[in-house]
Amino acid sequence: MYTILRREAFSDTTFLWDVLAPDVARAAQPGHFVMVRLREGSERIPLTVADYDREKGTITIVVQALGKTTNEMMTEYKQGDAFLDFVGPLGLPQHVEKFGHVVLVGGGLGVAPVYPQLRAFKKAGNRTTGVIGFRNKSLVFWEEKFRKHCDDLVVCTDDGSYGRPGFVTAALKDICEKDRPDLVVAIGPLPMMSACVETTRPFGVKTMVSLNAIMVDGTGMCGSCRVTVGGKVKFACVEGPDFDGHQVDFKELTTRQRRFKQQETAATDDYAHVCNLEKQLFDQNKRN
Amino acid sequence: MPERDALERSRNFKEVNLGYTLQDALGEAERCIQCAKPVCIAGCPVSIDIPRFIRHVLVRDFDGALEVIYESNIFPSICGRVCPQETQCEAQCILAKKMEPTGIGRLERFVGDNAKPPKASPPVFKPEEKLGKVAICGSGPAGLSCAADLVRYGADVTIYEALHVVGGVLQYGIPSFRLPRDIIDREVQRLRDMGVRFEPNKVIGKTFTVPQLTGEMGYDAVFLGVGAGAPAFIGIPGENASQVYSANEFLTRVNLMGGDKFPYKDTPITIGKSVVVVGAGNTAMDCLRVAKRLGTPLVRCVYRRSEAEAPARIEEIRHAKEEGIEFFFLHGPIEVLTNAEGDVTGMKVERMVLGDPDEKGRRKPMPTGEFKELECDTVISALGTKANPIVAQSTPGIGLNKWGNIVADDGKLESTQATNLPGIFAGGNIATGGATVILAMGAGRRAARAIAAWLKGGKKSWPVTQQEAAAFQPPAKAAKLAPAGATVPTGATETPVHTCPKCRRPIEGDEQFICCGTATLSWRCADCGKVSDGFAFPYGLCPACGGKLTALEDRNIEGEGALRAVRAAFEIELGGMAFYTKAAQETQEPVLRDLFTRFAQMEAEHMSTLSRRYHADAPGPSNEFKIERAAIYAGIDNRPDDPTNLFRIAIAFEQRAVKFFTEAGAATPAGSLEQQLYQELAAEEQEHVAILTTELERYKLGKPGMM
Repeated sequence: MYTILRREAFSDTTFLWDVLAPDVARAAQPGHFVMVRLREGSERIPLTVADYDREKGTITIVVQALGKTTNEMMTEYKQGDAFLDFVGPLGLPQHVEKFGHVVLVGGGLGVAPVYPQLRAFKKAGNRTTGVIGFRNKSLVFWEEKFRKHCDDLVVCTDDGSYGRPGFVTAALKDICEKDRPDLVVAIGPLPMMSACVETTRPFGVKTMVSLNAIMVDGTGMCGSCRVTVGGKVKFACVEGPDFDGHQVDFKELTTRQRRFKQQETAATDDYAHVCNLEKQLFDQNKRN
Repeated sequence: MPERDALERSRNFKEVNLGYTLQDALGEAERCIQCAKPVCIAGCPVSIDIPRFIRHVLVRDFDGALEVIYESNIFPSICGRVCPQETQCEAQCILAKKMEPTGIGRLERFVGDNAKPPKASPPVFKPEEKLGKVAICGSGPAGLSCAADLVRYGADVTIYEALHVVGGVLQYGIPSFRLPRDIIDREVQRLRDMGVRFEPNKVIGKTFTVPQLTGEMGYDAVFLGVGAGAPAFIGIPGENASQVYSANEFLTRVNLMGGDKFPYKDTPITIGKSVVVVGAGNTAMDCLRVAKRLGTPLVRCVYRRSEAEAPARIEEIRHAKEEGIEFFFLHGPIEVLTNAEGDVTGMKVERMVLGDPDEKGRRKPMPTGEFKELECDTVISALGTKANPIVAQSTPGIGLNKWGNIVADDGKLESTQATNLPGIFAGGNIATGGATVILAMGAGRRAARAIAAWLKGGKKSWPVTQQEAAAFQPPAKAAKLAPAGATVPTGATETPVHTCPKCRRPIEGDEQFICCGTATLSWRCADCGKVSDGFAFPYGLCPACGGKLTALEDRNIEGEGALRAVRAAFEIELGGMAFYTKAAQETQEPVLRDLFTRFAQMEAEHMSTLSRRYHADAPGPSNEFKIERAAIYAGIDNRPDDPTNLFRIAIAFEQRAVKFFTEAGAATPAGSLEQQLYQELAAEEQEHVAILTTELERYKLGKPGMM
């Protein structure tokens, strides 16, 4: 069993867990991910490492409640609770060295996994620019953490309620034009990563993306996470999850990410469904 | 072996092969001719002493049989199910030259399922006998068998497993209708009880690396049994469409994650109305049959070669066909067809013909230019696996072959499984590429021996040699683990080459093995007088008492005394039958009703045997029988509230019959026909007492009846 040492809510749907897993923390590096399985009958889901503390033996993950399992993580698990399985660190770590000017773009929840990469690139002697984007002001998190390791930081909100209005791609385009980066790292939802890649392509700036593909085991056994990169089939779990975005076939990946859409929606709806009769009985104090 | 009905089983995940009944097992054990120089052992990758364990089955000593198997293989219930015996031990069986070989695998399974294993506890070693710490990476067949031996050799064993459950391919690969999950759990629990530690959720190469294991974590040796998990794909257009699964993914989603129970379990699987599986190995058969069980109406197999070249076991292909799966042999996959949304709509295949044999001797499929489109919603690629790169990536300097498999001293009975790195051993699919469970187990056992030899020798020189491994002496407690060879029981006579191994009569002409292959013989034991029909007995020994057997000619019963003996037998059998029938009617418990019905059948069978053997008619049965009266006849208290009351009465009843026949035999002239008969009948009743006693024991333990 693995214990949630700390839980912090970022918004109505996003939250952070510090999980006690000393073996994983000891080996974790920026770019790694972990597999989580809550209880008997649960899925195994991949989550990117958002931070690690080798001394305390903790791994930080940041989660957005989107499907059934993530909703369950949000509603059923409190600080101090424990869950069944936590495997990692998996995947290959990001290749970190001194490139010069590195721009790290995080979209929504992707802000979390960008953070350890930002820290590592800064430590390796790079000049770092952070670009983090959220839908609105209430969803903003870790701004201060980022500011500590960024030479420049741009916070964007889609609705303009905070920082720079608009998408991260607009900010990224500005940077490419005015202060050409040597490397871009973009992590976030697929459409955001795809858009970032298209933004940097005309400038010829290498852009690494982190692909959170559908996985079962996360150790190269099932091939569920296969993506086409540079015309070759790669397994995101053992050869990634970080790939050169300009080589990634995003169209195919987007299709593959929808493989279980119907089942996922059904499961989420089912999970969210409250039996009206039971609720009525409960309200009438006929159930306890 | 009995099998579940094809229509019924294709809708659920219950086990298909039902296993031998007690009668099947005893009958099959009698078919083994107990060769003086058994060749079956050489066909077994872990060298189980097959004739010896069958001998124990023959005399109903199932626990003894299990002990014999345990010497070489701690997983009889698993291997009895998933080993390809038809190409291993059973292919070697002498009987196979004339008829169906002895069902060695099924007997092994029977023993594994029904015998009572000795209580497992951590073996105790003196400090100087201890071997040191060994890490085993991967809890599949190779790792488990390696651990089983090492812990008995005195090593401190920890198994690291990447997944959340222990068992490797046994868990994620083989479906439960071929290998029920409780069997894996039971065998793993045994290892736990023996002191093996399991560490699930630890990926070697990620959570810890091999250099870490031998360095800061202080392991003296490491065995890599991580399997060849990475799926191979066909390499045709459309293969990355959403509904194209690798066999590994498809089977893992169902077997490991319970995808068939979605949405009650969280892992989904999509399957649609029509599935095409590419490949014809055992894994392909598993995919086909799982797809069928998920409710897919149309399940088809596409394979480039013909049925004769298909690598799957013949039994698996037969099972798949029975379950309604369609086969497209000599059809090569060309393209996965998709619609605008990227969903699979079908598969384009090309008809093939067989050309000349390739370097491996398999006939190569040649294209014909004739194409066909198979409509389908899902494609599963079951084309084997490649080496998983995780361990190799994180272990600097480890020797790999061109396919990425770890190079080890492998492939022979005396191999050591040593890699080029000191203290690192490897075996199973990571070394050989895709193979079978039992081959991996064999490699695990060899590695255990070599590791023990290397540790015992003070980790001196690398690599450990085959001679050193062979010279390793297991500690006394594990001495039985020495590689099994054939052992001839004491009291057995040397078989002259020119006698038939079955009836042991001299053979004429150039017939080498069996002169009476299909004949039915009667045998009589010189010591206990038991007469048995049908088959030869090993080394001419009685299965009940070990006495010497001689073949009987057909006999007619003549004379007043002999007739009286047979009549007495009929009376007693009738009484028994009536009692059992009545008991079956009166008991409230379905288990007992079932058992006693079978006992009644047993008595009826004995009567028909007697009437056939002695050409005498058996009288009809009677319904006039009272349990209370039976208790009085048997001379014991009737305790109707005691659930074992019926058993007690029955056993006492049969014991009285033994006594009666024994006394009657003693009162008749020595050597007379009637004395022989009385002895025979006493022996028969004695066997009934033994059966009932066993059944009572099992009933008390809550186990199902053996009959």
